[in-house]
Amino acid sequence: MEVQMARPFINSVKTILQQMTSIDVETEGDFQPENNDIISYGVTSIINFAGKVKGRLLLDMEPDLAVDIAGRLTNEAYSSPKEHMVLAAISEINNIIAGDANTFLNNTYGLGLRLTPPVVFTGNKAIISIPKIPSVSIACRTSSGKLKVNIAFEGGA
Amino acid sequence: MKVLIVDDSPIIHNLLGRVLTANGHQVCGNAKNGKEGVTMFQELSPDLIFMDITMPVMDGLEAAKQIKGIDCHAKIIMFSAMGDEEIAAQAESIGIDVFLKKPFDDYKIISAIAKII
Repeated sequence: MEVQMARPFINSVKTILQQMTSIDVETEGDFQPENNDIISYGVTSIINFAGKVKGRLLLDMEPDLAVDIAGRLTNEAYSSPKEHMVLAAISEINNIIAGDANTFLNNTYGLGLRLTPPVVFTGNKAIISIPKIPSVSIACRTSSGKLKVNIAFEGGA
Repeated sequence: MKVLIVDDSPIIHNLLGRVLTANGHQVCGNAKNGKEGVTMFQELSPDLIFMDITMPVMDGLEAAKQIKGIDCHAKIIMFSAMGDEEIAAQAESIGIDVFLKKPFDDYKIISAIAKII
């Protein structure tokens, strides 16, 4: 897949997390092809989208980062990434990030992309076996923990 | 104002609820999907509805159409993570008063309310 299709997503990750939680995201290197199953840092959210092409955004993060994001979003304190509001926060953040990037892609390339509701799950070192469609990942770090952003597209992109 | 929030995310209920309450409004209900939203609209008669688009069971566009069919004067602020021209046009075509793209801050929310009252 073309890396240019993935760039709007990392831009949205940085912008939305800063805007909604004041968390700064720094990338480590550039996008790399992802050919293997992903071993989760602890909390993962996946959102699919489809239009003239199909795609997926996967956010995988360390539990402390998930708890921090949820706390900043709701002004509440959480102790575990398994808490309902923490999982809901990561799901919503993924939804907003994917929506922001897809809006850019729709307005730029006329792809007519629409989102499906995200799924989110937690499990330390869980192996995420995702459909083998071409994808790229970029490693990121924040003051609260690591984040991996994985983007896949198939069909015409 | 009595406000009904329709969104499948409890995070949005929390975020919007805090801003609305802090600005003197009353959240009279939180619906988890469009179908619940239509039912709660009939039960609670809110002055204003905040409605997401992408939701399970019934999406916000269909729910807004049904609510406008029940009461063509119903005030609806629609919002979505997606903000492209096609979605904004769809919202406008069913008589949505204001369309907001997520994320929104306090200022955007209060400004949207000010536009329709």
